[in-house]
Amino acid sequence: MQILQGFLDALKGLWESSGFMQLTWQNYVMIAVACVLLYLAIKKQYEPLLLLPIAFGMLLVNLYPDIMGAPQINLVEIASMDDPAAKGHVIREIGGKIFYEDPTYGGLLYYLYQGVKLGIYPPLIFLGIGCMTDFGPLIANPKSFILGAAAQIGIFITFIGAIFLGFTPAQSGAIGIIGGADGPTAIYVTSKLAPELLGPIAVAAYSYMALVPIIQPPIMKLLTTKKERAVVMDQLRPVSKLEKIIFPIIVVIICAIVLPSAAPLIGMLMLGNLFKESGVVERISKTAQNELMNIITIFLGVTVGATATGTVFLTPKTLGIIALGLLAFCMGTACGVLFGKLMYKFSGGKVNPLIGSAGVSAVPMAARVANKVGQEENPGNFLLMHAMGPNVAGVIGSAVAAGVLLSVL
Amino acid sequence: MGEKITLSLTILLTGFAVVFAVLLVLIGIIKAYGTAVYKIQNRHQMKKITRNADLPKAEREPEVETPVAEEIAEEDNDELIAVISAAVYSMYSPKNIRIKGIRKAPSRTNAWRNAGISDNVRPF
Repeated sequence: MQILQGFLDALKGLWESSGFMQLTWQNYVMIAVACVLLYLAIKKQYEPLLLLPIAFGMLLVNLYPDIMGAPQINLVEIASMDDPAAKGHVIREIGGKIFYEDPTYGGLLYYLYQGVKLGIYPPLIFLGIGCMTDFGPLIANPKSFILGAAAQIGIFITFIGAIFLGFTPAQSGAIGIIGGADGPTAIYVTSKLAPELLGPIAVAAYSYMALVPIIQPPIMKLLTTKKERAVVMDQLRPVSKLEKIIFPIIVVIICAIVLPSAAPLIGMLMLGNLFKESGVVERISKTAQNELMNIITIFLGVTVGATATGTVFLTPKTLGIIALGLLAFCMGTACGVLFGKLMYKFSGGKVNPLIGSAGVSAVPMAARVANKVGQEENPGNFLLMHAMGPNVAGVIGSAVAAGVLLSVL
Repeated sequence: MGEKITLSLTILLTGFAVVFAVLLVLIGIIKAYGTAVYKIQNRHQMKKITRNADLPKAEREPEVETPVAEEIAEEDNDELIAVISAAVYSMYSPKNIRIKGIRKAPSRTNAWRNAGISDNVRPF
């Protein structure tokens, strides 16, 4: 009888601690959202390297919220200092009563999340990106920087929209940076300005980056004429190795002096690029762009996904963020194309305005889209290398814009 | 409302001005050093050519083979030939190009170099 009672108590305990009793309806909705994102990552292959860990982190935290739980210290009252229960614990005396500290440790993802919270992962991702980026097209045609700058205007216009929708200035800055179309920058800025919005902003930023081939072409076609889209650009001049080595050093000096708050992002980006271009640390360069990048991507993706708990994510604010993120992205693309049109006029028709759309970072997807839209008008037109200039300029531009927001807000 | 408008316009103006200013400075610097590097390298190359021309024929540095006219293909691999021809054409874009042959470049590694690399990276 006693055994049966024990068995029933154990079953009751298991039932009460199970997800059926602990989870709320919001958790179940988020589990469904996570499954949709997993489908998009695996079946549709939308940015799977990031979307898959983000979606799985989202799934895990909504199944078992304590996996992101912070460590806690419980105070347990004891009769005297010599109580054997307090052995090995810190003892405190509060209001004449004696307590011992009984710590509970945080969840696995809580500790991994510290890399996001402390702003460590995004600059490390930038290190890897720097190792993989060829700034040659930008050095060959430095005017591309103008298009990279123009595409950042969307960030600041969206900031205004967010302010008028009732977000605080810091939250508005974090929402606006989605328009930079640069995941690590968006996460870095949000972790500093509005960590409570990290989940929705990261999901919005990476979702829109994955949807670049769908979002950008209609805007590009709307703002350009057939003649402009068919412009064939002259071949870029070859860039010497010395120029490529000097570039990261000069960029980091200028940017870090003008905007010290952008130094962690731009510094790591340029360090990675110097690893690549110097050619003397090939082993480090390979590690930074492969093993290190992959490890950080796993940690960043899973822990960012794990911030999207049901109660935090399913609010009207999230819908506002998703809508504003889309606005930021569209405005960035439109401003880039419009400046491309200006360059087309001033250059006497030598610049194809489509390359302006690549000014929103999203490397190299945005450049590929510019190339594809150009080839729809003229199949023999190869805009890829020309679009890579504004594309990598956009990475530097969004980091500079992030520095402005971090300094001002 | 007035406060919101002021803040919005301040951020818009500051962001716009700073991002453009920083990137315009970078354009100027890159153009300047690009020109300087090109001139220095050009001068260096010209000096080398002049010095070489002054020497008696036997002492001259051998001319570097350009990859445009690589020679002799042992096997006829149409796809490979098409890809190499396209690459040569896109790099040098001459009007009338004629590739006489394609030859695999000799390996620049030797056993001693490989042994040195292997010795250095073994602990990792």
